[in-house]
Amino acid sequence: MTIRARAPYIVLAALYLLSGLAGFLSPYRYQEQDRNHFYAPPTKLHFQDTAGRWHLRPFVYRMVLSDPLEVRYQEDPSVAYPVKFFVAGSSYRLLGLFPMRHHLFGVDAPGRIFLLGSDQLGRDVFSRSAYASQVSLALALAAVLLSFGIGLPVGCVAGYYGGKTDTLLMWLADLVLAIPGLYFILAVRGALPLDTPTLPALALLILILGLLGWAPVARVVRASTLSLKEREFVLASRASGGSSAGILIRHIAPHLASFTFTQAALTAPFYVLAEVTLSYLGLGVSEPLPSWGNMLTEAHNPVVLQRFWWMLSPGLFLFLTVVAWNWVGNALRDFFDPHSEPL
Amino acid sequence: MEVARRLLRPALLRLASSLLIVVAIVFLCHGMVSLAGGRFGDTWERPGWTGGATLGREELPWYAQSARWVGLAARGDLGDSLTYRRPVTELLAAAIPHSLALALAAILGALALSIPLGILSAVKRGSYSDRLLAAAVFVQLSVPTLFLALVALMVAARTGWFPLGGAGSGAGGSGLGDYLRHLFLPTLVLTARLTAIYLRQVRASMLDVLREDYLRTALAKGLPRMRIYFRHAFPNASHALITLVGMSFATVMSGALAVEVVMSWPGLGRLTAEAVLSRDMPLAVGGVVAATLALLAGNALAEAFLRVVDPRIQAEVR
Repeated sequence: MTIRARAPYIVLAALYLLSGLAGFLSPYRYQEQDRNHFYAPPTKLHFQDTAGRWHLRPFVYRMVLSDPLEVRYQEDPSVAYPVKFFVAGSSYRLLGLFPMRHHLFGVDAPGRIFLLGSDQLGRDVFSRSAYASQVSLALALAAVLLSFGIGLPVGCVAGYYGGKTDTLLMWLADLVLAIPGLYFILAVRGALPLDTPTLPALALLILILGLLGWAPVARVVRASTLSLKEREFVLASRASGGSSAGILIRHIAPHLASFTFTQAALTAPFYVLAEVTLSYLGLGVSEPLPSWGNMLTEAHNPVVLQRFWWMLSPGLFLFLTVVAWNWVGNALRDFFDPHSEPL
Repeated sequence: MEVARRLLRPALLRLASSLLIVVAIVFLCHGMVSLAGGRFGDTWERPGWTGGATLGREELPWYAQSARWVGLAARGDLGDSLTYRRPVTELLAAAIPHSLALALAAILGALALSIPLGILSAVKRGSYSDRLLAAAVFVQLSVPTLFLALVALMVAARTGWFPLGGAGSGAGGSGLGDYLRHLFLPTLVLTARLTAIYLRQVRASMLDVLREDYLRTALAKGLPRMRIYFRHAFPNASHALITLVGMSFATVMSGALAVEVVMSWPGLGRLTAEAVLSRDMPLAVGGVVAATLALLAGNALAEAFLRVVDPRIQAEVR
């Protein structure tokens, strides 16, 4: 494999790694507030000081609220705060396990570095976006695993055994396919109290997404199994006394790998988006825990949209994630089926 | 008689199975609610509210609740909304036309864009315009509708060219022009996504058709190119597109949910989302069922249309 062919996988893996290291990569904790810096614009990195000298190490100036009514900030050039690496700051747990205090970059207090500005409580949008990626990425992976974990066996069994089993399973699949997913999730989530803790709510969300997502998988797997079971190698293994289960697992399932991996990568973004939409509506991850969805809710306000454009930056993280998954999906399809049309 | 055999019987079968599916979904809704730990009756408990007479507040198990719901729904009674204190059917009837207008406008817009662009892309395969369109499709499919809606709203807020959501200004203009002005931005956001989905399909189907011998004949005969592509090739490439349009009702409905909420478009998605947020379960269940019906209707319409367009398709009876 050339580097170019590997690129999509590297990008996706990097994305997951970065989200795991969110605590280290972000200068602040997601819940850290600074009421003196609400809606502060992205901090400018300077290389040239007021005397006109150039510095190799970038530095920032402290932002001072010059107009509290209009929310305008001015830089105070009297003190420069150089950007430092591996600075000690608030403590967190790396990968949720190892207690640590050092962050990849930061500036000494009272200086502040907001790469993507701050929100109405003075929380760093960059840090919050980084933490938010953990929820979205983990959830997508779990929902994909669940839906394929159900869809693959169901499709195999329906296609291989046929008859009444097939009819029943495919009727179930049709039923699930007829459910407008987002509406259904809304209704079920609505039955839970609105102040349900985030973790059980997320677990339920994964469960529903998985239970809705298996149907399209099962349909395609069934169709492939139907044609695969007529092939000579299946006949041969049956003639040599192979059991049905053995044939399914050893001989038929491997042929479904290409579809499985490609489709898994291409459906993952839908699960990310479902979480974002629900959190946007206030039914997924709830404050103070950050999610790209609930961060975008705060941007939904004409004044914010007009003046504080950086509040939309979680959307860029979201976009990057979806691009990475789609890219991997396309790469997998080309890998398994080189004759497919590149698109 | 021939028409009846080809069109009516499959339609009736489909109707029967659709009804079964809707009933099953009602049971599923109630079942999931009780599984999730909430009792369906709980949300009825509201101080000072004595309505909801149609749906009992008594503690029925979920399957009995669902059976009751289905029985009442069969008589056209979906209960009363808790927040609006009006029949759910009335609220749905007010919201659905808005959703339908949005969906139709978006689908028509997407078809108008994707068919010529898709044909161009297939005919000039490998050219710069083809590659540019492919890249645009890839990027567009990766932009979440929710985010695009917010960006569109930002543009509207900054430029003032478009109204900031809603379906009517109330004060100034009213009537069709004003409605269309409000419809424009949500439609644009949905159209962008649908165009990408349709374009990919049109291109793929056209590439298949362009390999056929009869097109080489047409080319050899010296027919005008445009006539060949649009009149001879495209109709044969349109089957997958028709199915896709029918299926994209689902995409439109759930994509529209985000757009409707962001842009305050008074459609079905926004109504359902608000019902859930205000714990108005009768309205929420009504919204889910209405969305299900819309989805089934979309698929059925696409299939019926395909049967009319193409007599080769046999009535497949399952």
